[in-house]
Amino acid sequence: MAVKFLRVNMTEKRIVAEDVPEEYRFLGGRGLTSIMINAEVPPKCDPLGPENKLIFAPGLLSGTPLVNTSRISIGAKSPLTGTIKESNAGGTAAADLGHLGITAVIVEGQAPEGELCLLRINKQGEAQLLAAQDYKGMKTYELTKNMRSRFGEKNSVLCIGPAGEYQLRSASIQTTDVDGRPCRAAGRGGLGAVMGAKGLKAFVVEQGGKSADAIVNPEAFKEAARAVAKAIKAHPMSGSMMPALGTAGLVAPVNAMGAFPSYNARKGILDDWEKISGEAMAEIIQKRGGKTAHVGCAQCIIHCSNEFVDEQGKYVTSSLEYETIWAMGGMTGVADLDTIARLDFLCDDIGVDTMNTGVAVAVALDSGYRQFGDGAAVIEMVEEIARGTAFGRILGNGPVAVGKYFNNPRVPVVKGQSIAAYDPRAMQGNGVTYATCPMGADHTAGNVVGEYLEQKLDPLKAEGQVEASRNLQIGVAAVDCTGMCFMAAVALVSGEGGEAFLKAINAKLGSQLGPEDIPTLGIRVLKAERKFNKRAGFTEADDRLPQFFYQEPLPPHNTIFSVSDADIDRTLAF
Amino acid sequence: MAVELSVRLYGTLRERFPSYCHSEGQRVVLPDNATVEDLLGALGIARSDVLVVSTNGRILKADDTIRSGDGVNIFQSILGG
Repeated sequence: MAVKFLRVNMTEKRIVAEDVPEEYRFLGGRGLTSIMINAEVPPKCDPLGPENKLIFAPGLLSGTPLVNTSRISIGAKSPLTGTIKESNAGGTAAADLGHLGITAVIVEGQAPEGELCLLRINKQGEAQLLAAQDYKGMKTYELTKNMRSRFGEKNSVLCIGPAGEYQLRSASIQTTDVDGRPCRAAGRGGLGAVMGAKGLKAFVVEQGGKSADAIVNPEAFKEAARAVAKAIKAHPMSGSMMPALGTAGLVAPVNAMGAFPSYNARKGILDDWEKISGEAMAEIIQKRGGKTAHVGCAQCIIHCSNEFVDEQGKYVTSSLEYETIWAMGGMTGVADLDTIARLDFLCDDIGVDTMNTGVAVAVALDSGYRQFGDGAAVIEMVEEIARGTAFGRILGNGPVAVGKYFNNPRVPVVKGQSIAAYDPRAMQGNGVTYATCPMGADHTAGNVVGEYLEQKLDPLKAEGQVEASRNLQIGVAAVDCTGMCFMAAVALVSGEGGEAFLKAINAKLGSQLGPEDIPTLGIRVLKAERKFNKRAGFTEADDRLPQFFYQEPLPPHNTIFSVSDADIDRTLAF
Repeated sequence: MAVELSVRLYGTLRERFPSYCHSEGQRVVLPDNATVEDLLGALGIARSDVLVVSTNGRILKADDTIRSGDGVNIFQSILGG
């Protein structure tokens, strides 16, 4: 059996391979990281101390020939939220680990202060810890270039920038896309700080491994994989919208619904949002000779990525996404794609979450530190994070740190993590997800936007929101175990696509899972996450939005968040 | 009395109207009391494309009436990002 765990002890500089224990069989991605953290990490431990564990887990289907299965889950106790955390990213690393038959890499212990290492796994599956002092302070683009020049281009890199080394609470783990750029992020929850605290600067995996876990029924798998690909291509979102505009296609509908949190969530529509819409972005990119419908992740057939270029056609960043456009544009009032693209690059290079950082900037602007809409000032502020100035460190620690510094209570976070690009007063169900998600406010855990756009639910009323959020949170928790990308998963939730996806899972594992087993898996994952949080000291009182969402009406609808506490508390009360 | 509208198109919908100019929108004339369904019919775009019609910050249903002067936007559904 090729499937294995690699335990990397940073205190002793020791790497041990072990067979996957029976209780973790059929788990991958988020399910594996969360259930393992709940079992092995003391819930009250210091997230930046030696007792925390940083777990890298490809999805159950990563490394198989199935399309769009390149999500890697990274889990730990979060220094941002204090809760359990899983943040997943695309790119190529998940497929590479899958090709090596590695189910999870568990980083434990802690290197002595100031010491940096890098972890390398070659395509024979041999792992080594190497000294990385030479890369101290290096930003992610330069670091990745160094790694690929040292080990060869056919290597995937997961790494931290200066923010991770400073152990800032918004620090991300950046990972490489198919072009070898560190522009994919496990952004949320400050996992880059955990990696920094462990003393791990980079994790480099060689591509082309040939020891993948066997597919139990290869013929059935092949047939199911074909049907999955067909369903993804046929779905209007994954087959047509995503390649044309990417996630930035959400800017227009969410503004049109008055739910785009703007100027630190003072308004639901950004003035001049048309200048930063997905349509405007695609037009600019095409006019300048950049790339839309770009391939970012291994085995992707959707091509939602893009390469944003400047007026001279020179690379600025990849991929400009909806959440970043919102955080760096909507929340800051900067309706300029060139500035937003530059900020996206800076965040990737420094290694910070674009969402938490954009919102932290917005809180500073809302406190009068600079003017909303002053793009040059926002760039200067974000650059301070890399320099490690006092203000840069406050900013890099996220919206709560900034709010405390300026004594501003208008801090749009839950459990310390910023909300996403949907105002809970104009999309009440997203507020339910922010409040109850075990990871803090989150954009993928249970995004209700589709229910509103497809008119299944009134976004402004409390009725039906808890059920919608719950069902989505359960479904997403299950999909997050598989390595399947959300953009593809939308085509695989029901009908022929859903049937084919389940067949692919069964053919891979030799299991007999039915449709009812998918929510069962999702609930199992959520239960483990909530159990960890409870043992860490979280209670229902923590499942609340900031006060201003209950009090301050959001224009243009002038609604407040109106789902009752009692209803919130029954959302995930399994 | 006819209902005159300037409709703004988003997503990939613009590709279907080669002369579409976003600053002016797509001009559509509909009979009085026309509904969202009538509007989509007049534009020749099928509802199976998961189209979303909004006006004044609200998502409209297929049988909602459209009034003259309404700023109408047509999107395609996206389930998250």
